[in-house]
Amino acid sequence: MPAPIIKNPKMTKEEITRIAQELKLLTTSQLRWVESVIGQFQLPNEFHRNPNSDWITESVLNAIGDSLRIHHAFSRQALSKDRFEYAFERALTQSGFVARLANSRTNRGHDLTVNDIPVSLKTEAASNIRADTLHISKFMELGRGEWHLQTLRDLFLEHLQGYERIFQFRCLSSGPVNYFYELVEIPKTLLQEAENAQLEVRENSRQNPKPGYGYVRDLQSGLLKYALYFDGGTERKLQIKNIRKDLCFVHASWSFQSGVLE
Amino acid sequence: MSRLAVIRRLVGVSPQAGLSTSQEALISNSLEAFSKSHAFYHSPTSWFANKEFVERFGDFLMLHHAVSDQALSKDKFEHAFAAACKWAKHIVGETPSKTNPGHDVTINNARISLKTQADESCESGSVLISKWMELGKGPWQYNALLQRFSTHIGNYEHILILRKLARYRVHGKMPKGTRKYKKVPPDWLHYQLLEIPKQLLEYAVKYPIFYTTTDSDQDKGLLPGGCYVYGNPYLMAEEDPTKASSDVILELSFDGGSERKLRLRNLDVRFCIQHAEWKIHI
Repeated sequence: MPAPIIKNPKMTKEEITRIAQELKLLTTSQLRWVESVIGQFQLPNEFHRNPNSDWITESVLNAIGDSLRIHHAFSRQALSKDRFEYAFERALTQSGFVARLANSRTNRGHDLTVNDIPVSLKTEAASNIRADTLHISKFMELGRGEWHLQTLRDLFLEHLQGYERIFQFRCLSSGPVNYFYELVEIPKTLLQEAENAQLEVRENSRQNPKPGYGYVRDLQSGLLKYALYFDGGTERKLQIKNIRKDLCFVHASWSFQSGVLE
Repeated sequence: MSRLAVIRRLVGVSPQAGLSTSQEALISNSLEAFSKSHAFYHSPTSWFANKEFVERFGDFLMLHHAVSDQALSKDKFEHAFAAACKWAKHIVGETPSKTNPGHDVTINNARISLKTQADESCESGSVLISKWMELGKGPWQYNALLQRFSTHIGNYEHILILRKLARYRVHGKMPKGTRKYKKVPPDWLHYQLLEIPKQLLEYAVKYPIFYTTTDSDQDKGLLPGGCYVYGNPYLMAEEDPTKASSDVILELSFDGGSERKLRLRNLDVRFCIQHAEWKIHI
């Protein structure tokens, strides 16, 4: 006897009958869509969670994984920040956490609150994404105030006061068949080390105001941990470049195949 | 696959692997979505939207909203549009690259640009396309920018826009001269698919009345502005269309911010062709 598609042991014969009845009412087009969705879930997948992760439980892992697979059934584009926020909130809530998205989309502080902890969420999905370092292309806007690196660095440190944890959801492979995502936490203490950053203005730049860097290094080895980039010119935003992933905590990864529904 | 085969596959006679609880819930949500009241319409004169098209696209909308509250995004619209056209037996061409500055899809060899409008302020009477095209790093001269728009629209034959209309109700007594609405959780989704006649845009390129806005950004050297278009693009050639009416029929604005993009605003939907409409109870 072949294995059933629905093998949830909690599913009763009545529920199976109900689904069968509902299927009978569908039009040909609807039936084809349902069949395509089922087909998505039968494609190969590997989801991993770090056993030391406090928020990515098995349930959260699978819920985010299902959201990703469904998203890519409809689209080849990487999950956007707002969709990730929504999927993360829903996965946490379904798994027993108290999660709530921030009210305002333009809120300068946190994006999400999980069990009363304010969280900042970032995404990275550039085509030149690197596996071993993280890049945040827009950590915050730097506004129209005084363009002085020390002042701007202090603005960054002040910004960090708005949340307790920082996560980045990264799309390392974006189809058209194979997808790979990971969720990485950037320790806030690591970013607070910017207090001692080595600040340098790019004097040769033709931009106005001139951009600058804030290098944060390991005090003993001198190795770069990450660099703040104060993007001048018309952009006036803060980027964070080359954050070493070995200094961060990888909570989970999702690897799967997907085919766009037809 | 036949209906019976799908049912058998779903309820237990398939050699495939099983569904988890959350996946099963998702299928269940989809089935529930398909059972909701809905009304799909298509124009009998549409060159592509027939019964099969609106049914396939409408089912996709119901499926999408079974798992998401968000309006159909442009990438999903592109995909659903191509899938529905295939279902309706149209010839669907290869999708060009994402960075292609022209069309998004070809249907029966006609190149089509697809747009979406789904912001919260989306009102039924006026079309807004917040980013028609990027204006790049070239010279910031209005005539040159309009010429780029003209070149851009030369890359496709049809422009279709999918609009998700918001639902509002009047809240309390309105003071004279103001509009006060209170948004209520919508119980019906409402999408419409319009075509912006290319003739209208060609007319806009021909009869622009340029303006500049006062919040110029001097340190960028870019003066935000745009052009209004007046008149009646459908008058005969020998008449002066700009004298036919003093009403603005559309506005093209040049956004000189960090994105440098062209928007289309205030286009009255009465100038557009409605191909299809979907109303879905949620």
